[in-house]
Amino acid sequence: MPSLSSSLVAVSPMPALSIAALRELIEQRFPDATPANWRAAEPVATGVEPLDRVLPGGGLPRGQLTVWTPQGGACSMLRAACRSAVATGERAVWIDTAGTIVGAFWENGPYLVQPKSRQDALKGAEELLRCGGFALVVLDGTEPEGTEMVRLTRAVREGGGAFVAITPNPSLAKLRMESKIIPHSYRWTRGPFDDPVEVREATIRVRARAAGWNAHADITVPVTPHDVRLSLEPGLADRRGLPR
Amino acid sequence: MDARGLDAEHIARSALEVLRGIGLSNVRAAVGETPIAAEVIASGIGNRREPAEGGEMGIGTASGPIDSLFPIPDSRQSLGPLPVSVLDPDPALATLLDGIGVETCGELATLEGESVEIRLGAEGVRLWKLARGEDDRLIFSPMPRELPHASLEWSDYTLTDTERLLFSVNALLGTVCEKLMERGSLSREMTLDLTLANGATLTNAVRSGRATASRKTWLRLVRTLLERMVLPAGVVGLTLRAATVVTDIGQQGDLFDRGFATAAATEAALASLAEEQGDVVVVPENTAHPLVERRTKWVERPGTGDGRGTAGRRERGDGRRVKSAVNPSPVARRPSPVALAPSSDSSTLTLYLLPTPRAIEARTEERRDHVLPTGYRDGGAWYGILSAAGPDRVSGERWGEAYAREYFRCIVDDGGMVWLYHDARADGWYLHGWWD
Repeated sequence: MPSLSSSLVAVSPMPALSIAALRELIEQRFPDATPANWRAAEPVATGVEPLDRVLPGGGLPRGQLTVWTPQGGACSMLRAACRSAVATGERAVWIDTAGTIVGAFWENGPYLVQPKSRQDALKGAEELLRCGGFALVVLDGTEPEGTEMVRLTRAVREGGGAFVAITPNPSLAKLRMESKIIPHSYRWTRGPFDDPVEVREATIRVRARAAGWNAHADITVPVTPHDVRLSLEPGLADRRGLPR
Repeated sequence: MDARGLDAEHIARSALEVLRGIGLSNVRAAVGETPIAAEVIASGIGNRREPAEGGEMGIGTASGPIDSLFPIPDSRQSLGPLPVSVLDPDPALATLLDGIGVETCGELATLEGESVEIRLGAEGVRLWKLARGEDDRLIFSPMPRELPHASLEWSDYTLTDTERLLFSVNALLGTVCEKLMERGSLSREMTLDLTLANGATLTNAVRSGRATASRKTWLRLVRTLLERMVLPAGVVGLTLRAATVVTDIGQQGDLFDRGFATAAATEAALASLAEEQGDVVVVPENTAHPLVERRTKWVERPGTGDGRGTAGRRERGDGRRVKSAVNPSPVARRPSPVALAPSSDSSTLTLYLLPTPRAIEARTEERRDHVLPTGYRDGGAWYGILSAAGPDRVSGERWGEAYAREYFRCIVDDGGMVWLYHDARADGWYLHGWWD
């Protein structure tokens, strides 16, 4: 391999190139000098320690499709992963096709895309995956099928980010995730009559599977207080307002 | 006069004739290899030839065919015997030169450059270079290049429709953006002049947060402008010009830093998304409306597609990493007394809403002064409820569409937690959301 300085001198003047193109060029000319963190980078950590411990490499794989079966706890884990990606200086995007995100509980760190149709969601996902600017792309509310999944898989491979589709269809997925809230794991704050008033926390069982490998973790998470009551006492149920 | 590559003597003679023709006298011309040589000679101090009619012509240094006509000393020799004062030194420097015994250009030119710099400073170095005949002054400053622009006029009809105007603007943008790219330039501002049928001209500035030559980005910005504009008359002409142009020198940063390296690609992708699908990259604007589904208005995320994005690495090309995980809370017109944002450092089960509450059939039981759901049927399947908290009662809208709901948070036997409500006005049960 020629020395770096002599090869650099030999490069002829180029027209203005994009940074991505320039990086490609450098990678081609100096394949051995390609940084180890490019296209083989560490996975995207979810920021949920018990989950990262069981995931291969410590997070969601980059350049690969991960499928998360839509059951209890998927969104909480993936939103934590989005926040984690943003916290490490990268970008994350959540594609909310069904429009189920509640604005009061959305934080502005990750990008939120609300496409108007299934087709828009798939087109948008492909574009965002392919651009390579997002460490994590989560597709929620749209279940890609057949060739759509192939296209998205190709796009994520080109872009180099992590892609998680919340769908029961696991085809082409490198990593398959399932989660379920354990029914009797809820912890309640109780009122004066021993009635349940507020949920404090619940335990989610997350199972990860890849070819020839599987693991699981039980993760206890808090429940977001969502109060719509008019009561001045947060611990008390509101009995006012409606005639019976 | 810059006569490089031309017959300098002929040009000098012709210039004198022209000047004589317009009545000027005592005009001197000199041909020099450098501007300072010509300047000194023409000032009448240096070597001279016999005065020409109506003027005189001197020679400082020359080369090429003129050699055969004039003695050609080199620059240093030409200026050498001349006093330093011909170089018009600063008075303080002139005193200093006098003090160290430097009287002629030749004596100054023979000094070491390094010692001149140390002892006489920057002005001394400038003078030293002139004394050596080293003069890189430009005789003519470069002509400023015309900024890219394009225009279109028509007289048979007038346009008021935004889409048709955009069609024409798109064509003009194609030309302007192409010229920008040819020059390796980007534009931060464009000016759109609309010539109206009544003779008036509306001038509008369109600005982009980040300099760009992207036709898509500019078209989107112009579209936003035109959609907001009220035209007093039909349009019969358009002129589009790049007003603020910067060189596309790129941004300094770590090429292998993902956030920096992918900023432009991300912007392009988001701009493309906005162009094709409208305002789909959104942020919430929350109010304190009692009903959660009416609490939020989704608005376009600021800067989407024009380089002013804010999330992740505050990336837009400045190469600086922003470590804060989460941007400030969504814009709230009024602080919401009921919404509490989840912690950013852990996962939490959070409420998700169905776009429209779905009617369900519920089984209930009496509990003191109210009823509790014990099971419900949704989509043909029955779900048992293990425990339920509530009711949380919400009612309102005396003047609008009144609502009166009793909300229950219910743990279902499959482990999920759902949000049901009883519509007290219609006496029906609805599934409104779930925690995930």
